[in-house]
Amino acid sequence: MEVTKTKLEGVLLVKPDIYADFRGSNVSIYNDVDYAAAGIPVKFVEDKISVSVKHVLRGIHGDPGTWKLITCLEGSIYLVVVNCDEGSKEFGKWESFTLKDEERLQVLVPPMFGNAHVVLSDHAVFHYKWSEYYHPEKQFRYYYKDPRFNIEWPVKDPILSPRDAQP
Amino acid sequence: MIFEKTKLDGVWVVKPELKGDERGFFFRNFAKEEFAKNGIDYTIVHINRSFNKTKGTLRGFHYQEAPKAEDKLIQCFRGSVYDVVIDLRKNSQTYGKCESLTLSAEEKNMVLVPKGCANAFLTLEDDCELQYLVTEGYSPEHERGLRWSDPFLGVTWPLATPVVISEKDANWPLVDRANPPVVEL
Repeated sequence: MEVTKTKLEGVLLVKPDIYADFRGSNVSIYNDVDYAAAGIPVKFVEDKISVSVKHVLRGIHGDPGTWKLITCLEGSIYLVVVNCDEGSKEFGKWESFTLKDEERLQVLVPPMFGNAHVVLSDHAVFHYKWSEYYHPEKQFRYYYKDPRFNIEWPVKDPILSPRDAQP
Repeated sequence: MIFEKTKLDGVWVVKPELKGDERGFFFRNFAKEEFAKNGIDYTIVHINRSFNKTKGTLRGFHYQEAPKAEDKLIQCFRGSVYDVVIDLRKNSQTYGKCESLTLSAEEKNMVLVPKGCANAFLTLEDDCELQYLVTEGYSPEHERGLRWSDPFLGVTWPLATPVVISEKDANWPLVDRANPPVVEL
């Protein structure tokens, strides 16, 4: 595996080793020893999957305590990570990544960073590991078109939940 | 680049792997080796652009006859269009079938229209600009067309009648059902 830094402090991009042959492929998407050795010593407590159809946008969501490791298991997604720490000089700084199943890039998202993704393929399976249990009261949310972030989205009219559609 | 198959063999939708940040974005729009990885040999000979002032402008259907048949990668840089591809390839399992999709400046997606398929688009807004990456030069004597509304094609357009269409495109002959057009590659 190969771990690289991104423009955002603490946000890492992981490129796992994929073993492919005529049958298909095999890849490890988490191992506590290997990931700790590669600079991700996070203890994860929960795994979640969300399945969405084309042009569904989920986010921007985050909380002050959770590390997340994101993988696209099927299809392709455009993922945005944004610094949501309003006390930081880096507040609003964002970066996007395109994750697709054939490559299985992973993104590590630290606490106080928001994440959002929009589905590019007909259907996508989004997987993330969480370092904390889910506490709805600790969650923060920002509008995907928040003018302070001015994020580039490759979809004009995404499909949103009523909550995520609130400016 | 993300390659997606469609129901017509050889017709692909290619989507960008956008890398964005506060400055804007970057993406690789064409990479010969990535096409090769998907089994597509693509050598660009011409790059064409078209601009369409009015929403509801229809261009097509167009194709070139062998031996000047061409592959086209079509992308919309400004605005959005409804694009339709018709399979005219001899012995194709999907001969006469069509695939349609929206190309837009936001999505930055492209459609690959291979040799032996005809293409047409209808603009969905004012001021639409498109680019075509083409693998063969323009050859007027090999240029062919089909009428957008030909019942033989059975295309459902998002507009009953185009607002703007050239004389040439409006008057392509209707397909002779006893002798329909076939491109032999």
